[in-house]
Amino acid sequence: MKQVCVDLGISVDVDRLIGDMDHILTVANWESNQIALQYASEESWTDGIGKSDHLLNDEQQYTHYHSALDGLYIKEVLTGMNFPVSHARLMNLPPKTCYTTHIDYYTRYHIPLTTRPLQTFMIFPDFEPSVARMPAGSIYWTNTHELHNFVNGTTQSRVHIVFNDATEDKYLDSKYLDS
Amino acid sequence: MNIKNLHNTIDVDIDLPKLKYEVLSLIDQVGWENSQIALQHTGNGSWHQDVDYYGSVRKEHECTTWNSELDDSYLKQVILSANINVASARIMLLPPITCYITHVDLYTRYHVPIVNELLKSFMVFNQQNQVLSMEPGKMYWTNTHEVHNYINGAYTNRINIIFNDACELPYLDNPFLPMLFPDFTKDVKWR
Repeated sequence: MKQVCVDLGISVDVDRLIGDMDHILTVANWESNQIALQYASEESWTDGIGKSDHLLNDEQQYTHYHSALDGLYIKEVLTGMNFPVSHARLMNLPPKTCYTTHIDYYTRYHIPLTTRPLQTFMIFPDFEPSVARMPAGSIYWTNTHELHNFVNGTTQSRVHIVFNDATEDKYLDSKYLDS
Repeated sequence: MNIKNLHNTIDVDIDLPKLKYEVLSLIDQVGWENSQIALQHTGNGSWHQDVDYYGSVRKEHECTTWNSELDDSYLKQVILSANINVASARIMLLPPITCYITHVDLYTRYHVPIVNELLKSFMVFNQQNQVLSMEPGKMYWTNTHEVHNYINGAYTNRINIIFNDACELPYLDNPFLPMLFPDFTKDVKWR
């Protein structure tokens, strides 16, 4: 059976990650509610931010870690994955907002930092069960080749670290790509 | 709670183009208040007073007086075709790429979607892992005593008519109320 969200069972120290995020926010600003932790060509907190089709490079080319992450726990977690990571970003979803319901070319890994699982969740409308909850403290893989959205139904911001497996091929066969 | 208790389709015939024309004309005429237009009121005659605000509650079952300008309208005729005592009928706007606070309501709701992009906009009952896509021009009952949200993941507005059954009293014993609203007490301060 096809799965849309898998808890990888990798424990992370959320308080340390939030501490790192707070540190990053002293030197970087949100751009379109994202901060790029990796870049493709020129070191920047905004390289690789925007819609996938509008990026200067393919997502998988954003593999260089911002030098300001050296020594931080957040980089230790990302480099500790058993695959090379690409396109890692801090993603902020403001209160009472969602994304456009969409598909991605690549599947995504999530590390929830601030979240409230009763009210904040991912939706895969074509699947049963349709709702994926991601309590903080672990790392999750999500099948974003499937139609999906993320809902922040709270009065606080939701922040996740989101990244790709740099070895994954681009998925161009989705029936939804035209729509 | 099984799936049957979450939502039902009500068997009514609706002329969607005719209804949509009336709804969009009314929106043009009176405008929104907190993304809502009240089709019924509690005696004040206003299009905008008997609407919901997050964190405050109304005795919606007492909101049963129709705005007199809706007499003879197709809009009112459609709502009355639900064959219930209607209360707190409203037009609801959900702008693009927004959702509500995930919540429970004191009353269950009837919906008639007017503008809705089916593939991208839907209601979700997250405790039951269920999504409900509501087709424009149909009528639905939804069990909004369950934790739910409505997601408009489209680039266009979603516009629904919603209303209650006036015979239904507020469900103040909902166990999710104190979980979702830490300040909630049964000694409700009605707006």
